[in-house]
Amino acid sequence: MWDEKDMEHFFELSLDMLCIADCDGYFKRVNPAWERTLGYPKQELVGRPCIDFIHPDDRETTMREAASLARGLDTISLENRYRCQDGSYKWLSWNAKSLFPQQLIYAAARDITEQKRTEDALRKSEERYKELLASITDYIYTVHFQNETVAFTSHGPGCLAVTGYNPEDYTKDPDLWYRMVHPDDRPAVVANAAKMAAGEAPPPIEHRIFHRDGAIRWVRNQRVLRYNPQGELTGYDGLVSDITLRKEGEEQVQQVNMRLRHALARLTRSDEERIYAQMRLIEAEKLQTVGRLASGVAHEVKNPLAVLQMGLGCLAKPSDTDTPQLSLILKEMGDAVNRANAVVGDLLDFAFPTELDLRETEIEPLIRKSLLLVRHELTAAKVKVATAFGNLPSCSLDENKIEQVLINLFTNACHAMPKGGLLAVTTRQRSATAQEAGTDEGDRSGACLRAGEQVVVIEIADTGSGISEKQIPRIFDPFFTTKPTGMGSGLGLTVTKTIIDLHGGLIDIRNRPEGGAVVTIVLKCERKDARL
Amino acid sequence: MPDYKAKILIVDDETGFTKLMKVALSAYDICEENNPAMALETARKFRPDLILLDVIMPEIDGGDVAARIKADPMLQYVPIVFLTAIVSNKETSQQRLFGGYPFVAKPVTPEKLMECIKQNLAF
Repeated sequence: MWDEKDMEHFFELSLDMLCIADCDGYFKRVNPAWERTLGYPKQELVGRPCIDFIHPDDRETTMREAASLARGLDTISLENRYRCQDGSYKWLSWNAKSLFPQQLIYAAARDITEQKRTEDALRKSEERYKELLASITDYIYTVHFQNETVAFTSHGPGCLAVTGYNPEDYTKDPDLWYRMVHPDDRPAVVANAAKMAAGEAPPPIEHRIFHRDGAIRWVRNQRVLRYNPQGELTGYDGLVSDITLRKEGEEQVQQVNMRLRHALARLTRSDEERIYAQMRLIEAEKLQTVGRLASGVAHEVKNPLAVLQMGLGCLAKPSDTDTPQLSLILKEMGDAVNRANAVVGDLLDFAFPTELDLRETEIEPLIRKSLLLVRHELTAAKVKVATAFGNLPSCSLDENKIEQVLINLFTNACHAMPKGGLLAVTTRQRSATAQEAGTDEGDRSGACLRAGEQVVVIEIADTGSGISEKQIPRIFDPFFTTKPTGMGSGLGLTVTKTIIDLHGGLIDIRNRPEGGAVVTIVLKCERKDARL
Repeated sequence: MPDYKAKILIVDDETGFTKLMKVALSAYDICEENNPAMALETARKFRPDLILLDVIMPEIDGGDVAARIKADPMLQYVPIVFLTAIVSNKETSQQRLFGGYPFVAKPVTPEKLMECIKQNLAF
């Protein structure tokens, strides 16, 4: 039977910390192990609340556990940290029990600080090991030959990380290596190894293996053969590298490449289709133009011929020809010949533009001269002229051709105002807009406008009835004319545009909001480096 | 009583041609109309026995004029002959043009023209 003296001895002797506390959590009695473990003499503990000594992070858990004791749960066990006298903490593992009638808690605590440290160290070591293992991607195996056959193979420790099997697994099971190889790759691996039998150093081979965990990895197997002085194969070292990442990367690159190739093919196709469609369109337009040209030529030449034919018929009739009629007939025939000649000439101008004779020219005098040349027509049509000339630099122009252009435009304006009106010619200098520099369609000279470069702008405006919006896009087309046959060949504007194009300029016709039409010509100023 | 001169209306914007035609075809009573827009009105006033129509004219082409004439109750039975410069050598040998109208290709001698007119006059 235990008696109090025995208890007393054990209480004092125990290496574990023993204590009695009341239900409010105050120390009532502690054994000497407390001072040995934590450094506090008895007096500093007894009468103090246990919670004071508990690590702040563990207080909540401890109090929860203690509450279960108070609720009537018999025993609890927990781990927490107690503060030592020197301020450090020790891990304690507790067993505690409550006795109700006495309202006391009996508890025993063991210092598990070392244990905890060991656990921690072990855990950290395991983590480091795992990381290390994960970073191992290569290992070396060695094959030893005896009498030209494989005697045994030893595997380096890295095989564990790379294949999931450790060296012993390989030693125990000589076929393991082969079984690991992906079935689809086995023939290649075997063929590769066979080269050694043939006496050749096999090239490195990349193939798939099944990792022990079931995953497929890519490895690169590179062998270095060893020979004895007699030249016999004594063995070889193999370096196995895990190249899964690279292979996956390669595959991704390949996929991306394929997608790019497809996209490129699609783009090329659609590009080709677009070009093809454009070519068809250009062909169709060309045919249309040729057709139009041919019709235009036919019309413009056959009509004069019709006049000639009719005139000849008249002249052939002896009696009916009297003098006034004769002169009428001859005049009409003469006019017809001239018209046909002019049209063919214009056509040739359009088809084979001659070289420009470019000289430094002042525009203002050229405009004045052209106005003079059409003065007669203007007065006859009761058209007034207004001019406003800006300060212009000289331009590199073919004077004759530009004069032709101006006369054409002035005449057109005149015809647009049969009952009279106002012809306004203005000039000014400014810089070319980006939009103007961008248009080079139909450009034949290759000398387009550059954005920001200085240009001369000529505007010729009339107060006629304007041009119907439908017709404006076709206004420069050959033989497109709004005038009756005989009045203009339909080539006037076409040739005008050709001339402006050759000068590297721009011409634009549009209706004015106030009525009538305005032609805008943009010409380059003299460029010092011009070589047109 | 003088011979009845058949009335021919020529609609063609080429003034030189119509003038000389009038001289050459003095056997007929020729009315020149150089403005196709006026063709219908002139035809109503002139009441031709035959209409010669140029095809390519500004604003309105011969086809339109023909349609207008055919649509007019007074003029719908007047024979129409097209006069056109836009025919290739191949087409010249054909007898009929679009819409089944007879045509004559320019340039044309007065004789040929008169023959064509005779053929197409209703009487």
